[in-house]
Amino acid sequence: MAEKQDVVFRGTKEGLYLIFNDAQNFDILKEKLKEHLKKAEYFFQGADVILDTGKRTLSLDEILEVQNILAYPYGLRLKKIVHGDELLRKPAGASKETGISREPGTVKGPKHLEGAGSATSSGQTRTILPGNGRRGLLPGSGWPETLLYKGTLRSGQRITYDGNVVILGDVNPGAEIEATGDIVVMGSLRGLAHAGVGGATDVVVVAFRLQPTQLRIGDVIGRPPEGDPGLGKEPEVARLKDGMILVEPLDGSRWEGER
Amino acid sequence: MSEALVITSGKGGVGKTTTCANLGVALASLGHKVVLVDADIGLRNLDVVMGLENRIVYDLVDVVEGFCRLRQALVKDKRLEGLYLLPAAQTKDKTAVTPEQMRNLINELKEGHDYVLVDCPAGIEQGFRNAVAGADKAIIVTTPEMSAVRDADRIIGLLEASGFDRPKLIINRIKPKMVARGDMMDIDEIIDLLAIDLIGVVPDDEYIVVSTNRGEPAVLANSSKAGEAFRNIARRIRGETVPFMDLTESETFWERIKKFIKL
Repeated sequence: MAEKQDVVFRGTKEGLYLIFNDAQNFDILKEKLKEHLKKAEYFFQGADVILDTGKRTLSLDEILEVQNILAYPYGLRLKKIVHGDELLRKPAGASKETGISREPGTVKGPKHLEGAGSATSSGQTRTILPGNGRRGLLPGSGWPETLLYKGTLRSGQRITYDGNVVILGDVNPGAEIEATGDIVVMGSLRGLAHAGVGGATDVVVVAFRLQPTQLRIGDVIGRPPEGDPGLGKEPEVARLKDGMILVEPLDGSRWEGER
Repeated sequence: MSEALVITSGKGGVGKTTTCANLGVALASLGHKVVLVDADIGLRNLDVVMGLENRIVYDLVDVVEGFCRLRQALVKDKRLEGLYLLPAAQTKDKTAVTPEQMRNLINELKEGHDYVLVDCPAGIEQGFRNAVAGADKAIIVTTPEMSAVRDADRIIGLLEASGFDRPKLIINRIKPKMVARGDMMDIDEIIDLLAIDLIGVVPDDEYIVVSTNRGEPAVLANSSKAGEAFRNIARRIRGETVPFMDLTESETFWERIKKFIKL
């Protein structure tokens, strides 16, 4: 009896099917995937990948990891995620159940987001990944992609985005933003913001009122000093300097020469 | 036109049940037909606060499971015409009903009543999902404590995601003197964070404890400040414009009396 392979690639008209053995440990799957890609080298380059996770549901972080493995250095893009035999039954094109929104850009209000059906599944996590899996670069331009979110991000809600994130509203305590690029909050940032997910260090967090419970830039974690009322009186910018998070008043002239 | 309102908070012990009972009594005394639904299956309290515990024959789960008709399960209030209570089951748990069943039940109740007030259990699990199913509008109750405000924020997020348009906020148990001293979160601070419309502020009132134990909602007592606040909220729910109570003034008045007695 042939043993079920952990990672299988299958080429189709629609794109490249990547099938994960749902009984296998995720870390092993990642390693197997890396091996496969290494063997194939640049054979698959630029292909659209449809990931079949079987009965397994990947967490947001796991999806991001797979996306990263595929994207670097082989330039594969994760197009959608399907579960087991769904892929045989469902017509191509629908990426709804995966939580992957192909359109970056404006997202207004929670109702327009995917999976907003029931009270628990919605409002908890918003995964917004751009289509092109290439560290948020706008195709062809070399400019980073940016997500504009209009509304208050409330406790328990999370935005994860490969690119920059701009919030037109407040980020309340208990809310989280993760972005591979910069984060700008046109309001009060009272929750958690992580800019430079994946290790970028030349990113900033800007807020009209910067009063986060915690700030993360790249791999550095910082929190405001206990009982310091000084933060958040004026628009401020947080950036990395000598491995520490430094907060200073927002001053337009300082941006000259950057990027 | 009838309306179903869910009264929720996320955190427990902030006064959902008290609010529900008082708003129900206040709306009924304004001449409306009101039914209160206790959605806290397994931990029912609304019947106790209403003083109707000993009149329960059937409960919400009995109705859903078809053991009785809806009419039979409604407990008529002993004081007011047009006020009814649909009690929760005490011997079951939240999984005894589904959101779909609750939606049907609330719709059926809306036919015979002007207002259906649903008392939501604490938490964000199935009890919460049941309670919000079928409601048209939501009222969030919070107290001026960080933990309660955080939970309220979480709840507002969940409500917005399930399609509720602009929930209304009640800030309960404000102590004006502590706010004045800067020891308590003030109203502006809470509104700034939650960014929803305020429909009422209820001052902390010892009489609430008395009224809860007696099963006589504070709205029925003319002297209670909290009761007055709830009466105002009820009128705002009807669409009236009622000015907010001046809480600081009442406090200095009491201080004056206290000082007078001490002298």
